[in-house]
Amino acid sequence: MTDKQQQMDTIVKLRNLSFQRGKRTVLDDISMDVQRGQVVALMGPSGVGKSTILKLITGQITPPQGTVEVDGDCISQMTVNNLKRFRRKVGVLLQNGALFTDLTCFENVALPLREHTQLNDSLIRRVVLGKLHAVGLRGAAELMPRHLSGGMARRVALARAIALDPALVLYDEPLSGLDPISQASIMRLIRSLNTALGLTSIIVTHSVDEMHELADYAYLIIGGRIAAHGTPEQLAAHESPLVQQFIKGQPDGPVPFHFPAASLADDLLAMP
Amino acid sequence: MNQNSDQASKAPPFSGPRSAPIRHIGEAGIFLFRILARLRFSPRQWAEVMRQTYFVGIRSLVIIMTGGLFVGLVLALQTYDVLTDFGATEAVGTIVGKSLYRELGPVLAALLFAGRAGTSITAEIGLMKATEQLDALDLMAIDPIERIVLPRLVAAVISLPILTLLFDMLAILGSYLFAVHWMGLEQGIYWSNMQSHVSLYKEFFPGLMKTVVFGLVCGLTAVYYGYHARPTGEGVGIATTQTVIISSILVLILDFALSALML
Repeated sequence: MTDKQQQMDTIVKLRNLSFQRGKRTVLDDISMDVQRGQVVALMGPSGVGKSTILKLITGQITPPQGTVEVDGDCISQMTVNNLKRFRRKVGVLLQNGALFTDLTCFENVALPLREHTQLNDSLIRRVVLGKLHAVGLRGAAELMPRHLSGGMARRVALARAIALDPALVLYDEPLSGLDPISQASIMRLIRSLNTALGLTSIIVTHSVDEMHELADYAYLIIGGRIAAHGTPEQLAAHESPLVQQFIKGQPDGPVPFHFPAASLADDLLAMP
Repeated sequence: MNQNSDQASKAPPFSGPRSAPIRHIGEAGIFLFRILARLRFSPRQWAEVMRQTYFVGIRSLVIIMTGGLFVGLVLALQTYDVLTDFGATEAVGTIVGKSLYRELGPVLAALLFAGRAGTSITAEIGLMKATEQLDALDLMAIDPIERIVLPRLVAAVISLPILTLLFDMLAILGSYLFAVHWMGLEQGIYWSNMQSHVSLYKEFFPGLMKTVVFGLVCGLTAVYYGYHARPTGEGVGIATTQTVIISSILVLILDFALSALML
C-alpha cells in the first residue's frame, strides 16, 4: 500500500497531542493513526487520559498542543456549525449509556433522527425499529430506560449512537459494570456492527480480555504516553516490563503499588 | 511575600470567594443571553415549552392551591379580628384583595414555586449532567441549552403568572369562606367592597407584572444552578439548595424594588 493510499485509509490521525489539567500532564506527545474499518482499542490504567483522547476526537475539548484530524478535517479549527455537522457523522457510546430518562427507548433512538433529518414519522419508525432490532431490543421499544437492565440500556444507547449511520463510533468503556452475558452480547454487537455497517470503532478499555476479543489494533497508554502499540498478539509478546505488568495484571512493577511518599520510618516516627 | 503579591496581582478579577455573588450575577446574565439567543419560535421548540409548562405547572399545583387557601383563611382571620375592634368588619374583602393582588400573592406564590418547581428543575438538569445526558446531547449535535434549558426557563415564565392567579383565587375563596360562611358577614358587602376598592390597574396588573419578573428570576436561577452543578450527588444537592436560597432572596429584594417603582 502506498503512503497516499494509507493516508486515505486513515480516518483518525492524532499528532503530537499534549493536554494538561491544571498542573498535571494528562497526555504527553501522543501520536496515533486509526485505519478505516478497524476496531482499535485504547488501553491503559484508570485515569491515564484514555477518555480525554475520545473527548479530543469529538471536539468536546481543544488540545493546547498538537492536532486531531478526522477524515482529513482538523477538529480544533472547525467552526461551531462545522463541528455540529461533523458530530452527526460520529456515534458515541458513553460509559453508562446516558439514555434520556424521560423518553422511551424508541424516542431515545428517534431523537437524533428527528433533530437532524427530514424523515416523516413512518420512516423514522422503520429506521428506529431497524436499529433496535439490530441490537436485539425491538421488543423493548416502548419501555422507559428505568425498566432496562444495565446491559439493555447500553444496547439501546448503541442503537442511538448508530441511528444516523455514522462512519466512526467511539465507545467509552462499553463493558464496565456489566454481567458476563451482557458483556458477551455487547462485544458481539460491536464486532458485528463494525463489519456489517463498515464502521470504524475506537474502544476505550482497561480490560485485556476485551482487547484480545475485539481489537484489530491496540494502543497502550501509561503515564500520558503511548507505552506500546500493535496487534493484540504483538502487545502480548511485547518485551517491555511496563507492558507486561499491564497485560498480566501485576500489582507491582514499573507502575508502583505505593503512591510516592516519604519513607515509612520517617512518617511513623515523625512527631505530630 | 513577593511571590504572594505577584500571585494576587495575577489573579483574574472577581475570582475570589468574596466576589462570588458578583461573579454569579455576571455569569447568570451571560447565561440568560445565551439562552435567549436560542429562541427559535419553531413548532418543535414550542411543543417542548408547552410540555415543560405542563410539568412545571402540575408539579406546583398542590402546594400553590393549598398555600393560597390557607393564606386567605389566615388573612381573613387576622384582619377580621382587628377590624372587629373598630367596627369595620365589612372591609375584610377590601384588605384581603389589596394585600393579595399586589404583594402577598406574587411573593408567596414565587417562594412556593422556587421551593417546588425550581428545585425540581435544578435537580433534573444537574442529574442529567451527572449522568452524561447533557454530554450525549452535545455529542449528537443537539444543543443542550436549546433543548433542555430554554424550554424550562420559558415554562417558568409562563406558569408562575398562571399559578399566582390560582393562588389569588384560592386565597379569595378562603377569606370568603371565613368571613361570610363562618363569621356571618353579608356576602354582598364582602364582594361589593372588594369590587369598589381593589383596582384592576393599581393592584391586579402590577401584581401580574411582578409574577412575570419573578418567573424569569426563579426559572433562571433554577436552570443556572442546575446547568453549572458539579456532576456529583453532593454537587446536585448543593445546587438545589442554592436555588431555593438565591431565588427566595432575589424575589424578596425584587419585590421591594418593583413595589417602589410601581408606587
